[in-house]
Amino acid sequence: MLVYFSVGLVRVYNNAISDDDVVSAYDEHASAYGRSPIIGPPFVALDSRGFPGTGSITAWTNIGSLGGSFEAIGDPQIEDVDGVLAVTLDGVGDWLVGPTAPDSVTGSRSKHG
Amino acid sequence: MKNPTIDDEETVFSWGCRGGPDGSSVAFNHGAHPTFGAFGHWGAPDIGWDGDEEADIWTYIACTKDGNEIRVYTNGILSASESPITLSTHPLADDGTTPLPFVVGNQNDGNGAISDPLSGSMSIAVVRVWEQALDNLAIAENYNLDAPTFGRPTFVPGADDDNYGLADDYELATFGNLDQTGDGDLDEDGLTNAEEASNGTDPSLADTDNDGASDKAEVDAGTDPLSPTSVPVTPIDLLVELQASALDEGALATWANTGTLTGDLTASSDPTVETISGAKGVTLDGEGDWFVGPTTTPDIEGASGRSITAWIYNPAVAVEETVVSWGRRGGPEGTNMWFNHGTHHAFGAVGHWGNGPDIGWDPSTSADDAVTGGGQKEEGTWTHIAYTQDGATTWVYINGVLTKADERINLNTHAGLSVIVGSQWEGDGARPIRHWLALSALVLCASTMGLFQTVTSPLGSMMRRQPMDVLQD
Repeated sequence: MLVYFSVGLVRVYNNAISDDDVVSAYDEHASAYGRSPIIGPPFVALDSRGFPGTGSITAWTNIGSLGGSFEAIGDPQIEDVDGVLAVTLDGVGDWLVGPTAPDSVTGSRSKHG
Repeated sequence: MKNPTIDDEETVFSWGCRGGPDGSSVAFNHGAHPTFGAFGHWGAPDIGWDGDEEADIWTYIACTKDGNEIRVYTNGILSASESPITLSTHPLADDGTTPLPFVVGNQNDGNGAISDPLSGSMSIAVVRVWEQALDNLAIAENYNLDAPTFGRPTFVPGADDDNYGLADDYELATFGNLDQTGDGDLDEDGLTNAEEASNGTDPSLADTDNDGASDKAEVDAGTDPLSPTSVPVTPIDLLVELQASALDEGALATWANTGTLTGDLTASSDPTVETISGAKGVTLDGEGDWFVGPTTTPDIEGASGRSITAWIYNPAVAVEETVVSWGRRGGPEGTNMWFNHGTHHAFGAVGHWGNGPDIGWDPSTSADDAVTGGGQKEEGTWTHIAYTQDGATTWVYINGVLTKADERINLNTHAGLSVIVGSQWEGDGARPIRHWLALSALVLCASTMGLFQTVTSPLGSMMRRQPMDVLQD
């Protein structure tokens, strides 16, 4: 049987590799081969649209893979903004402090927000 | 997020800490500052939104660091990119032990505290952070995920999903909506929106590089519509050219026009060809001598650009002595066109009637001719004088040197009258004036006199100098 194909990159490892290793190996050169990288779930995901109603907020739960929550400083408010429930910061002492940034997004690593 | 008013730097999400060294912070902003309005990492280069920031409307913003490149996106479309970027995001405060948290709406200081000056004043509904770089497609997909909720249109990257002849992402990035069509022409410059896209020009600007030539004119001429130094060369049409050098000395009844405007000039009274200081010229005695020539064309009527050059010999310069004119006196404003060799500070060089952009010869004059030296007059010597008007600015030159310019513009030159050498048409257009101006003996056109049409275009010095080059021939 005639086998006809092209090879762009081959790597051989001396042991089993994890799922993450496979994804990393794919992502590393995906764009070079016209592919999009595999994007996992965000580790920070904040979505105010699920709040039960308007009013003060004390914490904003992180539904991303990192977990934890963002604690309110000042008096951020949940407001209906053009039909969308959103957290409004007034620019005077309002912000929210979340979990510690993990090593994967410190140093010189790629990151997206 | 929705930001009612955009300050220079308003933090949306951050980690690391301010204070350096370079790259210690990740600050994702929605600010107007061109350098760090979008992303700051402490130390250059940061990045701004390149004018894409929008106030008081739900907006999807994204930032990704991919290798050593930072890219920022607005509503799923790339706004700007910057590289090389080197990050060294601090995990700990300066004390080396205090972990630095993620922060919504502000930034960590170096000591781990959070102060107020950079806090965001905005509403935030959704924040997502990944530990990987997202490419353009992934950003677009993420945008599309929630766009309808926030009143924004979805799009298929690179596709023309609305079948309007333009890629949807191009439409959104360029127009902010999906309403434009490929065969439309938003800026009405003659290039369709699709042609603008293929040429890389801005379909909302008729002259993308602001060099005075429209995008269409540049594409047609083969010049670069994105380079202000690349402009089409517009030919100058020499409408009237009068040469004295080959004339026989003595009375001159008809002065042949070798320009493109059909018709010679007919003498009134007794203009005379003489040799003065080694050059031939036609002498007008100031007592009824002038020439009436061909009728003007729209090229030099109304507000069209125009230029005049002349060699003259004026033995005694009066306040106002007309070299050549067209249109007619009497107004309304800007309706006459007369080129002078006179001392008057306001109109000794050019008059257009009324409070329009008249101009004198002396750059220092502002009031009294006697005080300011008589309008930089040159008497008893051959002098080259020139005038050019590009539709926006008037320039006058003596002996090839720019002496004065005036940016006021109010031209509306009367049409349908003949060009006159040595006088002006009366307001009724029936005859040249006889006694209004005391013309002294004025010798015209020892070598060349040219009346030029200048195409209305701020092509600058090239256009202004071209008549001079012709003259030197």
